Amino acid sequence: MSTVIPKKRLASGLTVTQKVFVRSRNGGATKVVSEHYLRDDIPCYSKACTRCPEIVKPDANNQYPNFVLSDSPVYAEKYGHHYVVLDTNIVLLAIDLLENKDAFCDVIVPQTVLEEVRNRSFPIYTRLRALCKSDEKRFAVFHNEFSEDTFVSRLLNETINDRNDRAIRRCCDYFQKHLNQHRDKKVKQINVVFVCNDKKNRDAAAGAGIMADSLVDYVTNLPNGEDLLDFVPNMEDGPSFSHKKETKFPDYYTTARLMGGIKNGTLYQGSINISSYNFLEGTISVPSFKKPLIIMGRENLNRSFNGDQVVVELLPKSKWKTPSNEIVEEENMDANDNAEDGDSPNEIISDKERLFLLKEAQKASSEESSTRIQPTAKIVGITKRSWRFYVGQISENSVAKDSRTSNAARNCFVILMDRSLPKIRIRTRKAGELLGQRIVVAVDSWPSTSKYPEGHFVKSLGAIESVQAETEALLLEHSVEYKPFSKKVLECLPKEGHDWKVPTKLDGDEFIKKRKDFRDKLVCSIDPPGCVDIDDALHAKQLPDGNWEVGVHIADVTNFVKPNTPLDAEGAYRGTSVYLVDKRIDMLPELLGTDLCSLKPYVDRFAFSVIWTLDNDANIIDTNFHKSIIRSREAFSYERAQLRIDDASQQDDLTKGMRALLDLSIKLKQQRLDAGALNLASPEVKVHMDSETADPGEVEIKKLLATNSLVEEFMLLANISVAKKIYDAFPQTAMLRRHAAPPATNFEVLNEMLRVRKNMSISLDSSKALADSLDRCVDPQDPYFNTLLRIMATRCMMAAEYFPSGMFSYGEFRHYGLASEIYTHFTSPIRRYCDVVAHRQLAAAIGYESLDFSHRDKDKMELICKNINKRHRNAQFAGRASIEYYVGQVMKNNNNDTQEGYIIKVFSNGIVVLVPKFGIEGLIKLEVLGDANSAKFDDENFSLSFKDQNGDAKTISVFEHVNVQIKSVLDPATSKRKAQLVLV
Amino acid sequence: MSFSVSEKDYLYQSLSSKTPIRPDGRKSHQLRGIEASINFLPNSNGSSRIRLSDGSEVIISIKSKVVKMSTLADLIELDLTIDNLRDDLTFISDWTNILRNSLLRNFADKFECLKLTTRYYFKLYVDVLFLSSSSNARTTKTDTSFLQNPLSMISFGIYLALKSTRLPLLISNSNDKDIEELPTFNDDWSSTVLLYPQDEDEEIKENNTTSQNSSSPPLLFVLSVVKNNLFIDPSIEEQEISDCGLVIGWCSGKVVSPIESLNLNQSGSSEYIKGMHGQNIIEGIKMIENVAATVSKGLDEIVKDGNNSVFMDSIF
Repeated sequence: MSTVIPKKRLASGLTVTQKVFVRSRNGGATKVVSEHYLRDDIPCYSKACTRCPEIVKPDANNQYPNFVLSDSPVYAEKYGHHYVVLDTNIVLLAIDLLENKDAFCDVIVPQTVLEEVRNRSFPIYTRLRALCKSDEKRFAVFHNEFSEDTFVSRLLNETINDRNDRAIRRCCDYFQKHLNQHRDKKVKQINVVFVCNDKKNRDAAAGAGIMADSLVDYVTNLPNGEDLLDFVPNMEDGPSFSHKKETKFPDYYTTARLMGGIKNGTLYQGSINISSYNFLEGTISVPSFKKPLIIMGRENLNRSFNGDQVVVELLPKSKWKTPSNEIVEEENMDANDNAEDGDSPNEIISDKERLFLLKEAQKASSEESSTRIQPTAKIVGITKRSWRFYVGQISENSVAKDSRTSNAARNCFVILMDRSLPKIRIRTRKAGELLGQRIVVAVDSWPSTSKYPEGHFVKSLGAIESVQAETEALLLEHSVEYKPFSKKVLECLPKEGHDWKVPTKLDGDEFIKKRKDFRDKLVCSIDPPGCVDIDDALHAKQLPDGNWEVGVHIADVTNFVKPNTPLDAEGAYRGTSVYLVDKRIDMLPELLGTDLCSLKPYVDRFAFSVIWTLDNDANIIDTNFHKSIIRSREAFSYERAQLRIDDASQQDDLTKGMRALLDLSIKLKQQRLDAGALNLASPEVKVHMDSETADPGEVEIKKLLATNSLVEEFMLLANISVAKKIYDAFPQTAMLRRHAAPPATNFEVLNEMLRVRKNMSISLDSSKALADSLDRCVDPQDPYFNTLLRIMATRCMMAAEYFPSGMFSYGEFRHYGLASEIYTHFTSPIRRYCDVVAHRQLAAAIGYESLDFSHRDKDKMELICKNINKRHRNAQFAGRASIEYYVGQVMKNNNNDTQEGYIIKVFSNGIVVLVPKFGIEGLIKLEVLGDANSAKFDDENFSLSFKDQNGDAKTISVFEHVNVQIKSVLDPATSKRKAQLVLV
Repeated sequence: MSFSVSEKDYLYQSLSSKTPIRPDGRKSHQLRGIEASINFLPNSNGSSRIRLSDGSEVIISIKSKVVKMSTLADLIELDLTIDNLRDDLTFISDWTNILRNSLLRNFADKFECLKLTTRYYFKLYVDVLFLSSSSNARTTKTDTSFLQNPLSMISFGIYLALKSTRLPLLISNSNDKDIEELPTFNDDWSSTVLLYPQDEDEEIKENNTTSQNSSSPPLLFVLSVVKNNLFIDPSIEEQEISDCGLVIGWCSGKVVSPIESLNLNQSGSSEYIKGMHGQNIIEGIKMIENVAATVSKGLDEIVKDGNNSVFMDSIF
């Protein structure tokens, strides 16, 4: 019995039909019937059309749609003047090409395609939407599903894909006929070309008399086709990779199986984290297991990328292993692979890998290490790819010398900067040209028969090692938004620009009236030298009763950044400013950050002030929050502030206030340390730039002055006070920051190293115990040892995170590192979005203004937090990568230095050494150390014995102090300049 | 519709005589005409509607849900609503039980059709709404006067609804004994399968009654007993004065349980309730055996005709 779908005419121009389908979700199966309305007044959006302007109706805002399609579209010999209709597969694979300015103008996007794209990939959907919105590319969405002329209902036994393909073809057919019939006769003939990479669909289109071509053929036939061909992504159809079947990865399980397995607890879902030392080993943290599951080997990793959401299945107990102690880099493993053909056919794993796996398996079964055996797993499904744009460069080996000059398209490998990712096979005509350049590639697919993922070239960033290319590369790699602010964002800024002034009349509107005038307070700011975005300032004044009035004044960013504006959206999206060695990527436009909000000296500025009354022991007696107006008396750098405080001849009130602040801050710090706050260390360095040439000059470790900690203590105090206040006012949605206690398993290896090598241990009972035990771990022979240990302990910590208060119970709010019950970020709204939200919530809590809905809604707050957590992490990584790059450049200039280093990790075939002076760590491989065959790895004692280059027996172990020679070398694989360490 | 004592007496006399005369002139084995249609509820997996000329009406909706298996008896749930009467009335739960049990007992091989995998089954929700001709005359939610026994009509409705029921097509693995899978289904409604597949070669097999009826839902027939006479599908007047009622099930070509006596007089006046002989039951079974096959064939015609409303005249 076929389901005949009735159509019923409701009124002229409006017809109703029915859609019946089965919704299968979470194992259920529901019949869903929905009514679907069709109309006859959907315009074609072509300027050449004489009919549609007549029938078009305005929308709800009384706006008429814009007819974007040009009346003289692009001409190609084969197609004449033509519009393009896109198929879904084209949008999904070639969105970069669609965004290209030189091609794909006057494009019709059928609604069916738009919906299919949305279901398949939301990021691509938003990009397509953006294309359709902007007028320059002339993309028009045609709502074919709602047009009486183009709606098709599903036939009996027709798959939904076939039905959609038919709907798109119907749409092409309609446009062609419509244009032929209603085209302004003064305009030349306009054809409709259907671009589609599905041969079956194209054939069906050709059968219906629709001009259809594959993407490659279409681009080739364009007048400027030659230049564009490189941007055409790799696809099944068209000139695809002619490689043999190199390998066979296990197929992924069906969705049904995955969902069933996850539900009954036999499969686990999580995000895979591939080791940066060993590209064949990944771990995945699953709530069901205390320790992360290990995934070892190419086959078990099964085409996953670092960061993918995957589903794993446990391997039998016989295959459980201890984590690998070996460094495995892809370049050494597959150096001989040729991009053009695969290696020996029918081989699933290379022998080298197999041996490696065997070795692992043997070790796992050996008795003495049985306690460290961890369960292993294999990946059986990937729920969400983490694919983005990747930066890398073409592997020289993969481009044969003789073909570098030829213009023919050929396959080559792109080695990505991120070592935990496999190389990507792309097809390009410009391989020779692109050698030695940083290029951006996109990943298209990873078929189960291919050893490598397949992708396509997106753009070149410039020569390897050029500052501009490297900076852009690291921004891209850490998905930092670095485009200039859009016009819409800039329109939200005050019209007066730099001339904006705090109003002189303080009885203006109600908001001004609510502000406190603190211009008489002796406020000053203390920041790093050269700081232009000053977001905090302080003052202290002794009260008649001997207590102190201390004020922290924070730039009032939310006075300018109002919720639900493009400016706010941009800030929320960027989440944080990113600080690179030579560059700052702002979260908010410069006008606000460095001028209007910045608490510059000698001018009036709006501020958000926290005023405490503190007694002489720095106990809080009273806390108040005010929107205020301040006038900073002076902007100090840390050094200058220190000098002024130390200079006994200075006896003015401002200096006295600063001395009081310093005094109080020392007491605050002691209180904090007594409560168990941690004093952790990271090897932070600063690169001095030669201001003339912008060449990096020298590297130094950041020095900390007492004034640094002065500012820090009061900022912490302000953050804690604000956190309490907004949590009181908004118990469910207050923007807070927590730092979870590290699980004991994180410290297992470090503690074991300490026990074996130094006979010391770290206690994890509480943050206080941890802090005390860290203090006790002192090696009299080695003054740096304690700092080294703190650096290593820091790496075992959990990352702090933003969260809305409703997400955790009060006990879990705790900030472990600061030993504070509750914490938030309030003091840097110019460069952190969390602070912006905290400002708005505090303003609402003190009744200054009402709170926007998005900060009162738990789900919205969770989204905000998720984004700023990610951005915050990425910004940190980008900053570190920038330092790493510049340190590499510095090395280039003073090569062959001998420096002190410490061994922090021992593998069976190499060691990792940290050089505190430069804050770098480097891997020294066994081959470099000495005779690889004589090496004996003792994983109980974390030591490695070997014969060095001179044939002398040597044993080195973790924590050991070594002298290393640092050479700056260009890593041949990633073309990253790296410090190459050699043991002296 | 309230009869005086003499009217009732007259009715009783004419029905209990050797050559009984039914008030509407039907033969004793003749059913009333019905108007029936199927698949009129778009959101249900199967549905049917039956109307009688006296204005009473029964609406059946069947919906399916995927459940993890517990016991077979849990796979069918039946909910009976009569007019706006309270649902905790004894006779409503009695009727619900009769209907549900007859379905469960005669569904045996059909449970296979509901089986999706070794773990998952379809559960059927049968919702029955009966609107009696006298619903407007009711004053309270417990007033059951002039309520005719609807079992027969409802069972016809369920028969039609079940035969029009379509179940989503499983596309995931059906063997999940060792490896659990969450069932997934084809999203195309036209790919769904009928719970009771329609035989393509029905014409050929028409003569072979047993085979044709081998997979049909059960039917219930209500008989009214007046002395030695039996009347199939008694009208409200006949029910009022019956000695006793009898319900007989029929499925797959033979008489099946339930074979039970019933109180047909819902008004509560017990003056006419008398009971029956064993002979009545044997005669009743005989009568059903003669009539039922025709009824089910007639109902099958409705199913074949699909959505169109079919008026079945008193052909039975």
